[in-house]
Amino acid sequence: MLPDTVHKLPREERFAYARLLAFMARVDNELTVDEMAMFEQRLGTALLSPPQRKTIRGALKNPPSLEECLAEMGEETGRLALRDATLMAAADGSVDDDEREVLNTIVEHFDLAPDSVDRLLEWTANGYLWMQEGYDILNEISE
Amino acid sequence: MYLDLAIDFAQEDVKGYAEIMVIVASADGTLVKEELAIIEALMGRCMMHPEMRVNIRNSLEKPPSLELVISKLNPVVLKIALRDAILVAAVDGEYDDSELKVIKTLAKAAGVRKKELSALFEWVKTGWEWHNESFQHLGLV
Repeated sequence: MLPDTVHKLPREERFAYARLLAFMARVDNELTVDEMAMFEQRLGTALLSPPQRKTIRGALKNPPSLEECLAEMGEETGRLALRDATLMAAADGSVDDDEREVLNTIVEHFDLAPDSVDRLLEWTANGYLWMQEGYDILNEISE
Repeated sequence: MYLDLAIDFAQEDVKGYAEIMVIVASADGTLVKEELAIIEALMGRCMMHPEMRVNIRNSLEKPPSLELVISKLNPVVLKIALRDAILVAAVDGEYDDSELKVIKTLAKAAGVRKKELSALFEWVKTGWEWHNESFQHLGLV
């Protein structure tokens, strides 16, 4: 929910980005509330139209193939999608092997640095720590 | 792990929370795309019903009165709204005086003192820096 550039991407690419996140949400065949909240947050950031969002929510039930999603994304969109797919994969507290494999496939498709996933996972963990600090401040206020 | 406290809000509280985001975003008289994107993201994060989101979007043109919204919200909701109002105010790169006025009113209503409010501003700054790091990892800077 911080300043981002996803909303500046071309409309079709934002749609492809959201389809990839829908794919990611279903990789381990379970959709947790944490993942759903992250997914809805990212759809909001992408400023998709309400009909597009409806279509994307439908993609959660019937996810597209990863290859389809990747084929529709340009370089910048792919990189942002990798970042946000990492956030989604970690949203429930762990990244399983299937999710990791998808992240690696995105890295290979866009010819990114081999350590990209590790770096983004570390970045994600730092982000969740930052969120926790926000709760801690609010808790201190309540005391 | 990712769940925010806002997800447990009652529907009426979610509405008030989102209205506060609209009030902050509209405070300086201009609405930029970044503000719209963050409001949509926050509504998404608390998984607000799509129809309620339509009502919130419609209120962007004529936001409700801050005092009226505040009077309906309990202290917990007000504190979370305060935290996220600072995020919304920061999103266009600077805090406008009118946005700060809304934030101070919210802080007062939530019983948040000056020191704690400063901690929240600092927290937003840290989050901004954290988020910008992602562009470096992705080679997008």
